[in-house]
Amino acid sequence: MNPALPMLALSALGYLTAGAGIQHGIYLKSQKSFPRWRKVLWASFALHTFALIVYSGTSGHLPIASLKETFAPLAWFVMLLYLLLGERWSVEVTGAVAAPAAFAMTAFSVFALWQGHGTTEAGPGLYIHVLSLILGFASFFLASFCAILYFVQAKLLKRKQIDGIFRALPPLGTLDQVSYRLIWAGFPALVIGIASGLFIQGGQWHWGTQEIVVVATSIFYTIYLHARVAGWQGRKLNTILLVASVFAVLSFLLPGGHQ
Amino acid sequence: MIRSEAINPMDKTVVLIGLNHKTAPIEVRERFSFSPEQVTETLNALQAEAALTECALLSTCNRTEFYAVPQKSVEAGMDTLTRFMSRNDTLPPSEMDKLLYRHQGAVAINHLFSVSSGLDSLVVGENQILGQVRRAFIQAQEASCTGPVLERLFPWALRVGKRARSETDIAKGASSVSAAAVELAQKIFGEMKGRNVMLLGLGKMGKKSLKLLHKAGVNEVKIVNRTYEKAEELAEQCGGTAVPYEMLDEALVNVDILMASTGAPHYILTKDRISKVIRHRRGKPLFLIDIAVPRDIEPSCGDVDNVYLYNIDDLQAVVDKNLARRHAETQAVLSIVESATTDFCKDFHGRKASEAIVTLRNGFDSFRRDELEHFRTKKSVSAEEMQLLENFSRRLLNKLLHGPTTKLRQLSEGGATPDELLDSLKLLGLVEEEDNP
Repeated sequence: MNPALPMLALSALGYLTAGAGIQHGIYLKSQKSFPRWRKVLWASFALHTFALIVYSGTSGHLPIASLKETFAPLAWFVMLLYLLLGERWSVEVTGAVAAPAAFAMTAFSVFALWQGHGTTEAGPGLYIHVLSLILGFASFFLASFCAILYFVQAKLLKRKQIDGIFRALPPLGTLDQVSYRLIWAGFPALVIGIASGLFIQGGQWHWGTQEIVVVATSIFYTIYLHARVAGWQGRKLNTILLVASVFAVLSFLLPGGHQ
Repeated sequence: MIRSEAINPMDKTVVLIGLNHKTAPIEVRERFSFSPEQVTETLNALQAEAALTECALLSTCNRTEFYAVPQKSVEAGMDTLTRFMSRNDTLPPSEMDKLLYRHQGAVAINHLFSVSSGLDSLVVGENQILGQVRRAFIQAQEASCTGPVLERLFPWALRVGKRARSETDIAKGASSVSAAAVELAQKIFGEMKGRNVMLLGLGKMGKKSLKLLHKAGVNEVKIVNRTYEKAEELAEQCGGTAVPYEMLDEALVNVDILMASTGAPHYILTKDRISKVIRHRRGKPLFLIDIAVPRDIEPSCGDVDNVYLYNIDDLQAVVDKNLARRHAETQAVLSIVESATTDFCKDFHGRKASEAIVTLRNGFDSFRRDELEHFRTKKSVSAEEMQLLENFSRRLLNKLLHGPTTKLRQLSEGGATPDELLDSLKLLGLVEEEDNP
């Protein structure tokens, strides 16, 4: 057994605990415990980082040999973005979903790696391809959650339900800003991922299901960015973001020809 | 109000006399109120009073309170404060007694902590009182009216006030309609910097909200009124821009927050009108605040995408919910105040015990050093023997004083007053007796 696996499992438990803590805080309509859970998340994230380093050192490569394995670095990117955003914007509440999601992804990859890790003849091209796509998908995941929160918050404001969860949710303007910045970070990563994938395949583009969905994903994110730069905001823009997110999830999960 | 059995000995330490919105109506409170200049004058006059050693005066629109440390007799101190409190008022003593509350010791300390934490305020948890307590303390310091007791008590009260606000939700949420409007605007837009505001009509409430929005950092203020000259006048005052009434729709395209407070008897902004404006806004949220009665904005405007409409009742509902949340926190704040009162009293006694212990040890140590000096002058005692004597005497002193030191601490923890602690030292001849007059 790779010595990194218990550490990964422990960090996953940390994510689960902190996620449950944040959810409990939302249930109690109190954000007082959020700073404490942030510390737990930072500690789990540090352990996660160390586990990935140990794994790479002992196995000779990052856990990117299969889709199941890539969930470990994906969870790492999700938490990295979440923690960095939380330092600047008050979006701790997104941890109620980001942390359990990071738990599920890390636990899933631990389970996959427990059964034996795959071998990969990883060249720099493959690393760039996989890691940039993982960064892109991590950004899209968090941005889509912000978009969902935008709709929830907008609905509460419309209905004038200004108590309970309304107080825990960030302002509409903040959610809009955060998702915009996440897409700004994720979109170039997606483009680099696609370009490096094309390069690995010798410049040949196969019109498989995954490739079509990837193209659709990038088109929707392009529309989003174009509209946002042109000054658009609000529900319509967030609807485009959610549609793009659905395609992003599909393109990540669909089996591609190069799996 | 307070479990005071353990802290009765504080009774001679702090006294309080005052009235507030609970004991006196506004027409009485205004007669007893002190302007900042009068506070300074009064504190200067109180300095000459023999009955008091320290004094502070807290005078706000809802309360006038004297906190003082009596010289010897609590009654004499209270009488002096009552005299200063009533000034030129000719109310009979029985009437005065109904209006005034008089507390001493732990109850007075508890009262100050309740005041600073906002529990005793008209609007529970309001923040202004913390600044007012700080100002009262600074004024007392400037008038040289503070001493060891008030120098500890007031900073302690300020800490209790801050703790109550940070550990509970006692000060959370807007407590007025205009503040609620700003709070909602912040919940829609996040940062207020760079936001454009429009004031439609020149209602009093609108102006008040505008002031708060200015404070929150809004970018541009546009003022629209049927009478353009009046709009211009207000625009000049608040550094905004007057917009002709006919240009309302065009100006609205670039506005984030609109506050309507005209005296019009019908809707000024209809759903059709707002829908047309929204088409040019590229989905940017528009916050409409209708504080006019009768209303200026058609209620169905709130159905338009990205438009958030709140009228005066909606804002009042926000305030009511906030105040209910604050009231729900009072029990938690009360326990903070209670524990802070107990801690303050213990700390105060602890300090007095420490002072007494230092006096005790220093007294005996001077005896020890005198005796050692006696040996040092003798030539027959070598340096090594001197060192032995030094160590021996130190150890002996420590052993002898261990019992009395522990007893002094126990006495202090048991509630012995500083005077009682000093009395025990007087028996040993370590503290000089005061001459009787």
